[in-house]
Amino acid sequence: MPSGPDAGPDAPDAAAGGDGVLDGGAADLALDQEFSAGKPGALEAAYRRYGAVVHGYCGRSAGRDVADEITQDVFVAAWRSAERFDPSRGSLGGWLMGIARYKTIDALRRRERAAAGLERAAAVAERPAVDGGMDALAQRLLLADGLRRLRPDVREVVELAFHSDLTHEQIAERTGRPLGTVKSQIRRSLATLRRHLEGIDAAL
Amino acid sequence: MPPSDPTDPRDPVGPDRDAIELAAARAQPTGDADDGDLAALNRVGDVVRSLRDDDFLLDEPPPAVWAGIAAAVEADAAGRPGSDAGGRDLPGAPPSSLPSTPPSPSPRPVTDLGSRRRAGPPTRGGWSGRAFIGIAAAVLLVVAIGVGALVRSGDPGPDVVASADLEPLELASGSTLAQLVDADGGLALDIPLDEAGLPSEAGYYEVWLIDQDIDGMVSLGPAREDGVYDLPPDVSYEDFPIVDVSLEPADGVPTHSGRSVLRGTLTTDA
Repeated sequence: MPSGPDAGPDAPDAAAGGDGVLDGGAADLALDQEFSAGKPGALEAAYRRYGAVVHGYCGRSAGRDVADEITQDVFVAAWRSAERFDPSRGSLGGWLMGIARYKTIDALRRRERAAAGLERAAAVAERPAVDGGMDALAQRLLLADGLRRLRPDVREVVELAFHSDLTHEQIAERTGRPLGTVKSQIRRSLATLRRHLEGIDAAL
Repeated sequence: MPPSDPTDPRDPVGPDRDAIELAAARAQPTGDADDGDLAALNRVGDVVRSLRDDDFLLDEPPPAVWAGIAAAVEADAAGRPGSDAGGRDLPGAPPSSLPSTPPSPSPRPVTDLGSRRRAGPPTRGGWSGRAFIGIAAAVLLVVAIGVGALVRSGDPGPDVVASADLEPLELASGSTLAQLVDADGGLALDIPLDEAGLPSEAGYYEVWLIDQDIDGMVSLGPAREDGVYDLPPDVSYEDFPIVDVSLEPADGVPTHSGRSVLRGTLTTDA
């Protein structure tokens, strides 16, 4: 298993204390654990970390007019059932987005029902407003946020890897960084981003 | 889950860090990954490649959102010390764990139409003077309605079938009492909205009945001077026991705006 010779100064190892600077993974993991254990302050920390993403998701999928109340509902519901969150199945961010998805669907359904008024047609039971676009949006916002939190040089490497289909060797060449550093940065960032997607899956 | 793990406190996520390193190593796209990991890797790649510029543009939610979360969670902790609460207790978090947001100042928490948590609103400490005045005013009004609507039939007065103490949410500065009266065969809701101190806002206030699941709702129309809202004949207040008053923009959209200013649940207490 290639662990990569991270000897470079830009490769602070997780063992150094998990400052989360490199890929945010360690900090996210610590928050996940604290949240699932109902630790004091974990809800507020979770809101600081994911509030904007959840709010952005709710606003774009259900409308800005209801984003505030859905966001509130998501975090309150999540805290009430925090013990059901399992960090081994994915990130807290993904799990929150899964809850946001449910809450958004609820809101859309309420709107449809209200629009239907007293004519509670069977058609309302269907959910025409809900489609795969909601999942794709949740994934995009969460990963965009995850990328944004990467250290800029790490983010550059990751984006090069995905957008330009360069090999690791080519990226190392282009950025002038050691191949081992490039590999480990990509590897660890990927793992962090992957946990977010798995978190959404786990919540569905 | 226990409040603290017996693992090394200096490294509370040690095992998972190892696990994630391992998972990361497996995700390494250099030939030694298995199919599942490659699939996961490709999935991350697909999403990253699909990102649009505006996916990176996220505004911080307004402060009222966090205030609302903090207030709701505080109410949880205060309202049920070791009680049942439907099996969704906080995972061992003591009240002191709650965020240090002041309990009640403005901004009022955002009202939450989607919540199903309001089965048991915290009871208020007895009848306040204002509530009493509210009731008195409501009774007077009901009597007035009664005179108008029922004198002809010779009834002694309108029967109050159920009532709901409407708690202020957004904008409202006081509570008010909604009474469901049996007026000449049909049911009508009487709500002295002036008791709630609602400010003049752009748009208008509208009265709703909402079901227990906060799923279906019936509009009883815009706020009226006389405070009387007839229930459509086939609408049962038992199916729609929640009385809700919203602020609606004059935008022609017939649905609930989501901005509830007053809410309470009809009960037939005694």
